[in-house]
Amino acid sequence: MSLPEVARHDLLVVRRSLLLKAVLTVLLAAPIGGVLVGFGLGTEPTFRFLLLSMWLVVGGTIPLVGVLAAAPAVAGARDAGRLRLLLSTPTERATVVGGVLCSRLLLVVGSLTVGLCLGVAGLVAVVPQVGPGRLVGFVLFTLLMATAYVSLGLAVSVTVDTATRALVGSVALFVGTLLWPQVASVLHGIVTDLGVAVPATAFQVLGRLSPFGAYSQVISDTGAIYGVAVTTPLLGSGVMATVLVAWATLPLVIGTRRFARADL
Amino acid sequence: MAAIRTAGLRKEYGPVTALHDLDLTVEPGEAFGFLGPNGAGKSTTIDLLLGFATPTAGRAEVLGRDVAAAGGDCRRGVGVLPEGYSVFEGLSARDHLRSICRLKGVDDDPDRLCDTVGLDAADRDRPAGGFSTGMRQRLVLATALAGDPDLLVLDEPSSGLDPTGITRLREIVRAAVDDGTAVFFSSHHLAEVEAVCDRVGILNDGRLAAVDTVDGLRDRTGGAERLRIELREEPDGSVLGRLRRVEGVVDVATDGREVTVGCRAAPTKAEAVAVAVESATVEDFTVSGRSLEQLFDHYTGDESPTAGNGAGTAELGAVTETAASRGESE
Repeated sequence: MSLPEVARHDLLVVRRSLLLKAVLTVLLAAPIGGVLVGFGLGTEPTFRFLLLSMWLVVGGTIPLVGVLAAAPAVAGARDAGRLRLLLSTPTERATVVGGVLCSRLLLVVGSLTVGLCLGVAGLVAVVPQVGPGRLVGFVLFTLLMATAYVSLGLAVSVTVDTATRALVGSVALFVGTLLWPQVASVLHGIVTDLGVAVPATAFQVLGRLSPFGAYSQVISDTGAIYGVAVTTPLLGSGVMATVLVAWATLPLVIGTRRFARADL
Repeated sequence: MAAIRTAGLRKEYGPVTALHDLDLTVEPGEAFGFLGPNGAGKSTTIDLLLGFATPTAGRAEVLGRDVAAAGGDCRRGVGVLPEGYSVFEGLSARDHLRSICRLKGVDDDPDRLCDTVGLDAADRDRPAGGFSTGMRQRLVLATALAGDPDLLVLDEPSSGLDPTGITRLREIVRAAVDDGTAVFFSSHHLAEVEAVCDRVGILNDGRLAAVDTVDGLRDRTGGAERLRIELREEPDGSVLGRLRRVEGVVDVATDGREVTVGCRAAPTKAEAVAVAVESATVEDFTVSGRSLEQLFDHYTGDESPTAGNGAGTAELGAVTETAASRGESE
């Protein structure tokens, strides 16, 4: 009847699933894997270099794991008929969405937190000088990005009516958000070639409106891939955090409203 | 307060009208059979009653709560065995029941529920993904019974059940009705409906073609049951006269030693046999009549010209009107 009960039910359902094992493995291994990749790429990697290599690995895997952890949840249950059984109780559909979100966030963010702790411990152990502020920012923004992608996956899940569509839609969304900063750059080039004078900052901000773009802007080094100099407050970490929070909330709210009115 | 009340309930899917202005009332403690051919709109009706779909027009109340306004609360106090469900494959029967009880906000004993539906103790802790269709049906019936609901909505409940399961289902439904629970029993198994339901509604092409007791439907279609009594000797006028005076006897005819008595209801047959035994020497007797299947065919327009009394599709409109007005008055 209540949100914690739905979350508990969902955790019961996924506890023996392959999904849980896969998510746990990737999320626990990705951050420390990022550190190892950094050592593989450089002979004496610095703190900044290792952070960049962690961004590379974590930023590439966490969004995909996040959407895949949530995408089949509601659409799959709806497709198979399990949702009818769940909704034969007095549970509201919005409560189902909220409960599943809590459960999947617990799964993803919980595992990722442990993984990040391992990664950060590894980093601190091998690098003499670390930037505590950047490290904390990296951890918090990584968790926020993971939250945004889980929420996005669930938003897709409540919008479509089959597990296959949810998986295809969420992977397409993942790829789209990953490529969006580059799409914005290409658009800037096209507009410039056409002789239209538009400030480069506008396209830089546009490129950071995807969750991956926003995350990368904060974590990646200035001048490195996806990282641009902060020439306006719109490219600052506060706005990037707002972008991530918006992705974590708005699509799911819209999807849930639609789901609440949908014929099952 | 009615267990279920619909007024002008309508559902359109694009150009297709799945349900036409349904007026229906199911009283507390009543077992109501909901019949109709495939695509008649039975499941659409149930989806509308449970809030699984939004009506195009009209309203539905379940246990006095407006379905559109109540949201998920419209299913409080309702036990549902839905159509097209699937179990949570990794959960055991006990896990299912504990989880559903929590979601319903009720405190019930999983083992009691498993005992009620006949789910073996050995099967209660293994994943439901390995259950047969019948076991899954029993499990979901158990989830429907959790918390002693005031209304049971059962969509094809005997599907996949073996004869023992069907017998148990009948007992469960009758016991629930005896406890004052209303049962909305949608089924293709006409014999099941006839065995357990007080009234039936027949839905055809999205319209309620008839709603009445099975005997009432027989009466309306002129389908009185025929009691054939074979006497030792050809009956005289007094025997026939006494049979004609039995309440509920529609007609009496003779053919040599055989007397055929048209009876409206079950007690009439027993009374007629008793009168015959008192008045003459009865050697044998048989009963034949319109089964619910024949009535179903009659109301859904599938009846062959030789099987019935000539009433056809043209009569359905009039019957619908009668059924709708009965729903209003109830």
